[in-house]
Amino acid sequence: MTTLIINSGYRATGSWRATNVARGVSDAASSIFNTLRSFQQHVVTSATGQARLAEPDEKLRELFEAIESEVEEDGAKRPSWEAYREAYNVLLNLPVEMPRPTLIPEPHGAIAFEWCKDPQHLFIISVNGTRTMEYAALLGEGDELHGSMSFSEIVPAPIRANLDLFISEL
Amino acid sequence: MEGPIAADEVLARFILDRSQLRADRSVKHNAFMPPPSAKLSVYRIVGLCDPEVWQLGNEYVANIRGKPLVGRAEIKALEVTNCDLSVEATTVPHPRHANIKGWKGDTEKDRLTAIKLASKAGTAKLT
Repeated sequence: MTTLIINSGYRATGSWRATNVARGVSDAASSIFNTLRSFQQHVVTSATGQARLAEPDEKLRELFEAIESEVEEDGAKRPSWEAYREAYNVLLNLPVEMPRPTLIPEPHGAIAFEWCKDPQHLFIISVNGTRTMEYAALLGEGDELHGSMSFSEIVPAPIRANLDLFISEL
Repeated sequence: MEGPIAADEVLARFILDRSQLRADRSVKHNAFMPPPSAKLSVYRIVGLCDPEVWQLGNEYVANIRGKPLVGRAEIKALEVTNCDLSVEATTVPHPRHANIKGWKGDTEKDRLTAIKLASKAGTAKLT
């Protein structure tokens, strides 16, 4: 059960993030930790890894510039700092194999992530800085879902399961 | 413009922000998300030729908001009412102006409605 007491920065969601590490004390735990740490460093220093880690900054910068150039309609709100921070963490923690979403500003200050096959088949999650993630999806004529869940940094498992299913059919 | 809004009447939602369109010109949901006022501004364009529609958008939307017009999404009134919304004709700022009303005030539900409206609008016309 060594792996259960290791926290090398690898998330169960399949994403990578540097963390302060608390790990097991056995030789096996140490060996596994070092292997994972080495792999993590490889990912971070590789061109692909660099691009992946820089991506949230880039996407949010584009979003910020788009919003800054807008003139607000009927009191539309800009995303709060908390909304940006939540969006950053969600982006950073998306699995590497997951297609990159499009970031979309919403008029009430939320930041939406869109995965779109076509206008009749799309999946959207949205954060607004209140630790609540909302989701909505069109999965074909008459087939839709929506809901919300509290979250912290990563997409909650029930939403992730629906998103994975949607992406698998892209 | 007088008279009730017919079910098959086409409504135009003028777009000033390229981020409301995908690369293939299909309309994103944020083009149809209601603002905090819960009145989504549209224009009744029945009987107008294309240059007249653009003129309407430029004079009464783009110029007022100080941004160039990017395009317009079109949707029939019936598609709006099918989403349990209503279209209310107004005379301000123009006799052809109308508001889409009846939003739930719940972003989760309103987002799904906006997604449906955007999907029905299909591809935007660009200026």
